Amino acid sequence: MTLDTKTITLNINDQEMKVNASPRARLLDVLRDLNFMSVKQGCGTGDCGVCTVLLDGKPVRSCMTKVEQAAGHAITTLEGIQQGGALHPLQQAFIETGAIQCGFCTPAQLLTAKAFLDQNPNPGETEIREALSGVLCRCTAYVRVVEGVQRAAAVMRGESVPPVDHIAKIMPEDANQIDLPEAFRRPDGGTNPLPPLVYTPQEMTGMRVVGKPIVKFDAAKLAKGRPVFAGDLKFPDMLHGVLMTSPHAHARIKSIDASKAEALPGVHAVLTYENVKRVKHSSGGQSPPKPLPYDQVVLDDKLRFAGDRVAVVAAESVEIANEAIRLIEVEYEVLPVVVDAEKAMLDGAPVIHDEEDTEGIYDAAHNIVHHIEKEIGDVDGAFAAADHVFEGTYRTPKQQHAHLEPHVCLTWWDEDDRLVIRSSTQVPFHIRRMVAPLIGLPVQRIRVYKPRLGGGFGNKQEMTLEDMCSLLTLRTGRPVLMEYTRKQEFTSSRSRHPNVIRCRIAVKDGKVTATDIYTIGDTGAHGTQGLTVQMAGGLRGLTLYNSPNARYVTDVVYTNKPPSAAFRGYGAMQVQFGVEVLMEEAAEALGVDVVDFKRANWIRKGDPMRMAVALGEGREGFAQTLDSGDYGQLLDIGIKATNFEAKHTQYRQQTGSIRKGIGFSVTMHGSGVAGLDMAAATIKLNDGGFFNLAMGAVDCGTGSDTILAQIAGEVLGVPAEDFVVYSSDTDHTPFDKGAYASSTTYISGNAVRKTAMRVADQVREHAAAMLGLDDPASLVLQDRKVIAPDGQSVTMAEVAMSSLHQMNQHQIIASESHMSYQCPPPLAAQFAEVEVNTETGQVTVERLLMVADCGRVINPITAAGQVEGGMSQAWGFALCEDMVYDESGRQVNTRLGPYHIMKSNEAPSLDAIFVENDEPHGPLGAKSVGELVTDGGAPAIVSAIYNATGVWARDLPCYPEYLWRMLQNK
Amino acid sequence: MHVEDQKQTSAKSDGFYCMNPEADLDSIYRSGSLSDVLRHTLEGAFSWQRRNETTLERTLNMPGLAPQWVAGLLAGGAMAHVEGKAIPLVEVLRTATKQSIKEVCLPIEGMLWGQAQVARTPVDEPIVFAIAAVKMRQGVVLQAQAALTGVWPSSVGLANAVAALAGGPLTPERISEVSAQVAEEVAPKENYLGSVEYRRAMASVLTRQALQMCLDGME
Repeated sequence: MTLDTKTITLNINDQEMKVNASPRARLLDVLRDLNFMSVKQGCGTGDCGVCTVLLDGKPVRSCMTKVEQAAGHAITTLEGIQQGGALHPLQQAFIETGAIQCGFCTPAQLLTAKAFLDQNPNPGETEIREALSGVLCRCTAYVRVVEGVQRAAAVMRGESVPPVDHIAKIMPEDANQIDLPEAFRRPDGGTNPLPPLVYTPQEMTGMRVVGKPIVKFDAAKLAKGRPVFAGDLKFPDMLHGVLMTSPHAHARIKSIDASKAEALPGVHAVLTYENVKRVKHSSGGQSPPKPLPYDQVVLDDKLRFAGDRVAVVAAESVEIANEAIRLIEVEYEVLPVVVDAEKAMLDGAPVIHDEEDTEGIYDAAHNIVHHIEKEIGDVDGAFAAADHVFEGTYRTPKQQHAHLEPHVCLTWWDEDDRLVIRSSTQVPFHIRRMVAPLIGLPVQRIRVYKPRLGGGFGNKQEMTLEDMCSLLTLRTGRPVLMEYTRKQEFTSSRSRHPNVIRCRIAVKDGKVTATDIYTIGDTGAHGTQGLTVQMAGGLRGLTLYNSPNARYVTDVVYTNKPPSAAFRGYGAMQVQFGVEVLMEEAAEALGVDVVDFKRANWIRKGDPMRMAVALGEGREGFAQTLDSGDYGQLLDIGIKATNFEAKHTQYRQQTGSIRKGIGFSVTMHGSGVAGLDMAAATIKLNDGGFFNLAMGAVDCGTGSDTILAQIAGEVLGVPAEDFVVYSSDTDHTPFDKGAYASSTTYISGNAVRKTAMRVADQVREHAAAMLGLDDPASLVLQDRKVIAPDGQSVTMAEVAMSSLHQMNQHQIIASESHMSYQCPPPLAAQFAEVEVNTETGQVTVERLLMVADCGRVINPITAAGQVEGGMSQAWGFALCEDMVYDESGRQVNTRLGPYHIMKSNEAPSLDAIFVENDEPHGPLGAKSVGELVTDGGAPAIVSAIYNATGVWARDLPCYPEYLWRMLQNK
Repeated sequence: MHVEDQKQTSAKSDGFYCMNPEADLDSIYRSGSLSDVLRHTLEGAFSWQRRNETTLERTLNMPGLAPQWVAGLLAGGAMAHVEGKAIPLVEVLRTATKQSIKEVCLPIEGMLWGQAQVARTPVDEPIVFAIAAVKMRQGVVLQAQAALTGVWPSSVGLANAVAALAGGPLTPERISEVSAQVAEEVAPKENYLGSVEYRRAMASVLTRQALQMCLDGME
């Protein structure tokens, strides 16, 4: 007990507990020290609410509550709301409705909802949204959360509730003949959650496991608040690693003296550039050989952004580590700063990478890390021959992922002297390979695994903490836990690339005959993923309308800002924003209907994707065609569901200061990286007839563990719950590139499908022997049985028993891998309805509807969760989310509050309609859905703003003042 | 208008709603005594958790914790009881004696309320916020005040120009006139959410919209 600690008695979940703590300690820390791990830290500044607990039945933020304030009050954590071991109705409802994606905010949502329903057992939807507004969620957009609270309230009132399901409809040949449920027209304009609506062609029906809204496998443990995240594990001798960051956006360390810090009791290691080996690398979790330049080292004497790494300390506590950081004496030579990518390219701009040991920078003197020029056809000729030429310049913001779980890494030596890295990573296998040379251990002595992830969205595709944390364990021999603060998530992790997109199109006889795109991608201080993001953006942006003559030129540019990297949408979001708005502007200028104009030009099934070879991802790509999908279907359904044509015409006639608008966009994405991404899976049959499914695929909260088991179950004729899924662990699962590039359903799904097919063959062969049949191929796997044409059958459990113990004993097991030279694009039509206050410039989005073709929908609830959450991130990209920097290069909005992500009480109606198409390369016809869902929101919103006001918002985010000024100048 | 029991969070008396400074904002929010407009300042961007954790006293000591709420108190003409005297809250907030406030009383009868704001999104922290309270007697404005956030060097302040409405009818023309004067009166600081010019313009627009809401409430 230190001097300022005292014994405090707390009543936690009806148990009296005595703790020795400073009275000023945060209740959050005390509760986690007591192993109430359902209480999460998301920000530490009171902005996110994921630390919520109940104090005398009322929700409070435990990060803002001192432990002395909690003494004498009844504290309730999620661990305390189960009744006699049974799930609380709220927990059950959250599990059933799909309210839980990553689950990091779930305990706080559940507690808040419980307190609310205790006060108000029969609430309206608006009241629920208001009550939940203190807990941020980045995954779900709150749609299924609200549904979960409504369902639980009904159960608690004693009402019966139907099973949670989607609406399944047959897709007619003519999309205009669809049977559209009235609720999807939103006749009341409300935001009440609607179930996902799935249109399936007759020929695609008949699935037994796939296509069903099976509950996510991890939902129950997340609903219980089990300690499943990286930071929920503790060791008795664990040290805490804390990062010292640069206060300057550009500086050189003239001297650094850590002696006082090292001498501080409780400090075990201080790392600086002086005592860490300089190994050039790139932090992006990508397959080798990664594109140059390798412009990073673990710790450098040059600092290139405010938030860059200066030193790392391992100490007995975070407080001691922070005190040690204060004792590190650093003399900086402050250098000129450039934060604007266009200015960074000018003569005389500060040179950000002037070091001699970085290879592969295109033009270091002008901070241009990559310059790419790709062209097909005769672009200049087509422009010269065009009837009309249109062009526009568009700008997109530096958006931060804002996953509620920060980056967390825990490292330790295991009993075999191998280093274990438990990390909140999307790419365990890449991390293992990338960390090894930085810390001087062979790959063989490193194990990386990820527990549950509290969201990632691409930010955890980077190596951010793992190298430093590992080095601290190597130096100290002790387990070390490192975690970014929320401020460091902004200043030291990654973001979306801010882009300038200059688009030009040539139109002849109503057809787009040429497209010329130039982009500037602001990659921040390092080039990680800069090339691939811009190339992916160019590919999608140019394939959407697939001009026969197309040019893509891009400059990837360094600035003194934190590195940009992977973020859901990955360049496609930025470039398609420019393309889509320009297409709208062109239609308007031509005086033609924008729907007709786009319809006449978009890519169609069977068309070659003309830029696919020129624009691979960081390298030359592969020839591809669009083998499934029809934008016309998607658009026609969306037009019907929004009454688009009537509103679009009516809204043009408005006067007054409050105006409505409606708009749409069409977008596409990819499914994995063609010719590069590889995944593998192993399936093993066990006693009792259940299976182990081991995969390197990483479930970031999306439900991929579940949908991959559904694919396996469909093939093996067993329910998904017959699989025990384990992912992802470099020691215990097969390789998978990780969760990025919209690859999990498509690449990992195909690996699972192929593996399941091989296991099915083994099962048939053994069953045939058991049944005395000589034609295994004639056997059908269905309902946990192997059924012969004559009706004889054996159960899967009997096959397991026989094969393991009784006859021709062997293990039924298989592993398969999958890589694809095809990258099938999922397609979407995105609709937006807005209200604009022309006196203030404020835009309020009232509805976002996505009609998506992601091929076969493996699980309608998890797929809808992707659509809803993706649209909420697009909403932020369009309206508010931007990392803003002052002239010195310091970010001014490093808290979640001023940055602002969507809250429950401002979410518009977020509706998902799926149109299934059978993608021939996909597992059971599936394509991806994870990133497509972010791409179309911004252009649709901008289209709607134009419909309301007659001005084009070409620069995002569309802050009120920006729009107000354009309206003033109209 | 005195709260006898200091543990009591609030009481209605003589047309006033009196609040114990130690009361948490959620108990005030749920008291049923606030106008919808004033109650709205404790919703939206202001979560249930924050209402539970924050006492009235804290918001008076640090108006930046709940600037729209404090603006509402100022616009409504709240009185603070300090050492046996009733003092306009706006005066108390200018001094360093806020710790000794025994209660805060807000006129609640016959008041017309209006508010308007601009923000990036519906429940984002407002860039500029205006709240107005008008008391009428026989078609004549007896008292009118508007308070704004986002346009002063400090987090919240009263716009004096609006008080000039007193003594005359509440009409769109008079509202426009005083709202235009508010733009001259405010002293905004710029940040990434809004320039000085924009904030000044919004001070006028939003004051007008808030007063118009009061006028609409008469009809």
